[in-house]
Amino acid sequence: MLTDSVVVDTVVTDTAEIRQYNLLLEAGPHQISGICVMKMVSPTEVIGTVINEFGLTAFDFEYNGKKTKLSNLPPFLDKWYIRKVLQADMSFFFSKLPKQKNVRKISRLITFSPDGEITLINIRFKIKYTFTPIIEE
Amino acid sequence: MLRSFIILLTCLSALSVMGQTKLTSEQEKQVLAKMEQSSNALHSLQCDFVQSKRMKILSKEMQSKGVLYFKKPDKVRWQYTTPYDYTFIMNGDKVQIKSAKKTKNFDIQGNKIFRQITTIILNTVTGGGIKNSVDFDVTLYKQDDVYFAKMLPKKKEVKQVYAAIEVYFNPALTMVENIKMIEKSGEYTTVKLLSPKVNTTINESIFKVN
Repeated sequence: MLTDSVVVDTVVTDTAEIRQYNLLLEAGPHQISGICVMKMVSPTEVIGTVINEFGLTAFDFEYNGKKTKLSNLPPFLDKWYIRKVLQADMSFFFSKLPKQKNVRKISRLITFSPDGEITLINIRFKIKYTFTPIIEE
Repeated sequence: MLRSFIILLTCLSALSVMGQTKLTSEQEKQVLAKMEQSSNALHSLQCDFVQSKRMKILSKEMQSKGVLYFKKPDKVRWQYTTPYDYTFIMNGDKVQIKSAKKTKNFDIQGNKIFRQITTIILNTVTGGGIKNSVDFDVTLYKQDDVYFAKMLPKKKEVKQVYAAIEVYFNPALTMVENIKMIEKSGEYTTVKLLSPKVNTTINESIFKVN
């Protein structure tokens, strides 16, 4: 059973603040790591980008409080089925960020750890996203 | 007055374009010979690097830093130390990637993408054999005192993401100083190689792929 946990300073609450996460995306035997940088442009709107460690852009995103729109995807990621799953997963992620409460739905599960790590699981497609905060020195 | 100002502006823009000139075939020959000579003399390299990525959507630049080790012919350790930990090790046909949470090994022979990545890294770090690359169309330019090679990808996998890769050499043509990777979207990442130590002994364990 999931319990709500106290999260220390992990989520974008300041409108001017930018947060960086190590992102690990696992789908079956495949794993992709990268950096997710996001900025809260209003209490419900988020913009950001996912890049790989070498700096190559995977995609940009804009969340308007309801839906996430992806852009700037390279051709190998720019497939309707990839967009559809990523957009829905990210919308779920951003909708749960403000309250930082663990939530389990039929299709998705999100957990917030005390150390700031956020895990999102797409149960149907068995995709796991792990967001680990990057602390800049 | 206005007319003079416009003429001055036009001349200045023309000068800035002229600042970057394509080498003649004779100049290219000489520069390539010097690059080849420097590359042949390079047996190992150890340096720091600073990588900068301009993120258009956030109007922000992300900077990451790390260390690079290279040993001829095909050993590379490209390690990010801040603000994230990520290590890419290449040792012959073997590649290991260590991120904060996972370590994965790959065989270059069975992986087209990694073959491309390692070719790019070896070409750009040493600058050697750059003109003979079968994966890129390469043209040499000079801008002020700096020579650089503009590499246009030929392979589909690389072409899908990169429009060009520019490799900048120091004025003496002995070292690669800066690498600029330009994406199709126009966004780019630069990697500056700093404090190079050439031909020093590097412990083999640095390149160990478990």
